[in-house]
Amino acid sequence: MKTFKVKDVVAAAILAALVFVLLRYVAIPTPLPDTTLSIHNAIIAFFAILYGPVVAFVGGFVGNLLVDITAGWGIWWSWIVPTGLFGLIIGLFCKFDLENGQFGKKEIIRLNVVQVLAALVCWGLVAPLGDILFYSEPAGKVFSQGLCIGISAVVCTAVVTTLLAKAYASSKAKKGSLSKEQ
Amino acid sequence: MVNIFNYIEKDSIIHKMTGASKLACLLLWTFAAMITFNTPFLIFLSLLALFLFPLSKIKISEVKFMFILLMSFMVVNGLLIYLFSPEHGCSLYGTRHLLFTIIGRYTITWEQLFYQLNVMLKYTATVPLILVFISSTNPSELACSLNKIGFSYSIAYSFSLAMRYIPDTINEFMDISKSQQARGIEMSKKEKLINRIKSAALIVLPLILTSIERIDRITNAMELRKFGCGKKRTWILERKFNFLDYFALALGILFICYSLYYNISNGSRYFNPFI
Amino acid sequence: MQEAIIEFKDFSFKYNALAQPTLNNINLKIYPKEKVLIVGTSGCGKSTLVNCINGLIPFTYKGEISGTLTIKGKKTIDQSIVELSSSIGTVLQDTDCQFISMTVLEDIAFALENQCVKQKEMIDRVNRVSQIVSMNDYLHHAPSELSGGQKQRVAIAGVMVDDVDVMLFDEPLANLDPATGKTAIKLIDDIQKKTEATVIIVEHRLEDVLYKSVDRIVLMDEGRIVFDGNSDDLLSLNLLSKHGIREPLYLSALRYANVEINKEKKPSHLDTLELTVSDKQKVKNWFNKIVFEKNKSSTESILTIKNISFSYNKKKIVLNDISLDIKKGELVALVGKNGAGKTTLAKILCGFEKQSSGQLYYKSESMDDLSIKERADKIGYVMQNPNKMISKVMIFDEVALGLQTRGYSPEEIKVKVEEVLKVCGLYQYRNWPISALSYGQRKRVTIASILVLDPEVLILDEPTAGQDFKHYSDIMEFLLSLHNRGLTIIMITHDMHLMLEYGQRCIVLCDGNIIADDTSANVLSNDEITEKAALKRTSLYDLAELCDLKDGQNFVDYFIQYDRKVRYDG
Repeated sequence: MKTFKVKDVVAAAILAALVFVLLRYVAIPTPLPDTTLSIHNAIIAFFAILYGPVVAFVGGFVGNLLVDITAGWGIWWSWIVPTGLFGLIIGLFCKFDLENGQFGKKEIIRLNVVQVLAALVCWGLVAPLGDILFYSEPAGKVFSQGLCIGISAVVCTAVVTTLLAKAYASSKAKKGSLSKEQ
Repeated sequence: MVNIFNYIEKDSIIHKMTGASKLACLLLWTFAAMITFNTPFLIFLSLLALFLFPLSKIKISEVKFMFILLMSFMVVNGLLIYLFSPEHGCSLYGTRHLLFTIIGRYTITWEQLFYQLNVMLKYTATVPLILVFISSTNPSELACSLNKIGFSYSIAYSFSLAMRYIPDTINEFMDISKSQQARGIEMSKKEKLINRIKSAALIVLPLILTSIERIDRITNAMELRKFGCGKKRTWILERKFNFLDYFALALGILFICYSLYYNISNGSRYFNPFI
Repeated sequence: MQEAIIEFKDFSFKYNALAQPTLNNINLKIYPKEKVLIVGTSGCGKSTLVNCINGLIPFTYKGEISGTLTIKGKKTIDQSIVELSSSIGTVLQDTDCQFISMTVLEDIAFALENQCVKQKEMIDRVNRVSQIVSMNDYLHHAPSELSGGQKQRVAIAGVMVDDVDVMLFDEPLANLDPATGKTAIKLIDDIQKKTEATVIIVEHRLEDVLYKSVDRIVLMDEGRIVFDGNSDDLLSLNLLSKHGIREPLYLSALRYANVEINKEKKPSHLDTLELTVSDKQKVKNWFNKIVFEKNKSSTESILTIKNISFSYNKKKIVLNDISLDIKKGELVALVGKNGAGKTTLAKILCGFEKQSSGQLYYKSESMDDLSIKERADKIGYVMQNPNKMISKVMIFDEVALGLQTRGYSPEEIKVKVEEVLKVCGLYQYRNWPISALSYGQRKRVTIASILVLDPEVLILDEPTAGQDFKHYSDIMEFLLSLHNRGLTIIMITHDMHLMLEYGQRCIVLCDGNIIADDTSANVLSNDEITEKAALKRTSLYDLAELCDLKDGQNFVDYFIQYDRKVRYDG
């Protein structure tokens, strides 16, 4: 494995800070009572494409851990790990060249297929099984929780990450073709 | 300043301990509590955790806000467990002592009450410890501590950088979100859900793009001051272990060993009063 | 003759992403213990030159190099960035990104920690340098508890601690208020005297850097060196304005008065400037030709602020019982040092923050019940960094966003957006992605996206921060054209030129109170107010004194009007 470069250290840290802020301060109300969406997973997915799997894993993990440490509900390892894992999987299977403007239909489809599978692994398997293993929580409860979080991650990633990646890629696109219009 | 870590400077023996030993003890202690349902042991850990408050001279009132969060979280989580699986305890302990029935499948059994008591004990055995840790440990010391207990200094520094830039990110987010609201981008309930998510994307887009610029600049600043030039680095805030630090480490190791020993020798993770 | 410590020989550099080289055939020698100032407009290649010296080029930014650059006798291309940074210390422009640790102590020690220096030695060295920059009482402070000037001191200490031979300062004045900038220049001067390091300062604010003398000035334009010599020589020539750099204001005034400037008169500093009796008479004659145009001011109030107070958590008072009346069509400069409450006041006006007490009126109607969105139809707020406001890819979409959320029809939107784009000089770019635009054009896009909502008041936070003279003039002339169309404009600023040249009314905040509300010329001639507001008395006023003119404030006013005529009206 290649070494963790200085830029990776910084990118992971800034991602962690973003995850922290989004988890703590941005809650999108949903039609369900007292349920809010958080878009931090979408940002992790975006960083996974841009900076690779390790940065996304560390950033997601550290960000979620910092939220748990400072929130007062205890440290929920079985939910922190999937946050990072989601980024890791997307980073492994979605290596797009955003810097050169590569983000078309093919990439959008690939991203969304991968992210659905990643969400399935993270919140369909890892998180609930972890809770059952460590806390002996009832399966019905943890799988329902996993389902909620998984669906919200998938929806947010489908909308937000796609928008972000498209905007970023087109901002890097070649500028040669532009001409002033009267 | 946004003090996300709630560090309260005091002169206590807990404050005098190094961050590394406290962190190691915290992790071992948390894992020890996580892997077992040994009720007497969890009660012991809970009492010990509460005892740390006077020891660290931190008043409950200073962490009142987080305590309220903990309580409400325990109540909500407990209710959820009961709603989904009112007789989960019976299947875990293998017996059924019915007290009374509320309605339909919602019964109250001794097993369920005991199981939910154990779930609560798992929080009370660990959360006060986390509160004491973050109130008594200088966040500056955390990166050095992580490095000392075995994480690579790159990972440790990511942790420290994240904490350094959280307040800046909060301020930036607030500014951006207000100025976007002025243009009419809102996430309120008036809009359709999908539009709300799109609005959120419009709000975070400038935040993400300026963060990417910032990553490049911080990277330059760190490279120009030789970050990552060697396999190791020293820390100006590093402190030597004293007796208490070794004691805390030993305590953590003892707890996790006992937990493992109990689970194996008992044949199950559960302390079962029903057989 | 001494060996050069830095030597560029026929050096050229082209970034991979660009078609043209950024540096062209540079030949430059810098000797040990020299203090060199590199000036030039943005895009002239001065930052690229700095990055070549500190090694970010070619190690981080890739490109083609021809010719050689040697530092301490070794070619940089054969060294690593770590090796280079042992002799070269760089103080970056953005002190928030340079301050990467949680506290001052750790940040100063950062370079030492990375080299595995023993703890005891680190503490000694940190204590030594923190005393030099007078930050020894702040070692356990977090960056958010420090001012911009203090963060810069920490940054300086953080490179000094490594005993570097060369210290590079990349636009050290960009984020500082005038008074702090003055102190920073003095500090750099003191440090050089103490450490005998070679100092290279890159700036476009020439007059401010020349507060302390430099050994040499290098003037760059379009990737080439156009002048390399001492400051008196440079100022005697008429090179600066030709290459987009603003010369010291007192020199412009002397030129307007037809005073001949040569190096014998030592024009680098006002203190050393030697004017003959006839020179002074020339200045007096020039000034006496005055014809004053009185500013037309409206009597109709557009914004009334009554007894506004604001505090965070009921503890720190940011605004203390502020009352103000802004007239329709005014051009107001809101000034004061960091933390004086300028930005908070603007945020309260826009509804981003809620005042603790007091009332706000827009055309004598109360605004207290209006939401952020509703206020935006009346008062537009433009943030300092345009990148923080842009959330669409295409220019048209970005400007249209505010109208879409307000439910206008596509036809209405098209008409309105195109009209605003024409006003802002962006119409021909309407189908471009924003990423293809320059910083100044992006600023216009953000202003356009606010103007499209038809506000009558526009508040701008530091509209010209970090801009060179040309971009500064472009942005300000654009704002002036908006103002001439009847818009009321409030600018939050540190920039003294901006206040003088464009601020018809200058409101000075200090510790949450208004300490002056006057013309800019009067404010910048008043020692007591300038000191409290971290401003600096303008050199024009000093020149007036030097020429025994009693009417200093009017002299300043006259200069500004005359200068405008020469520069814009031909």
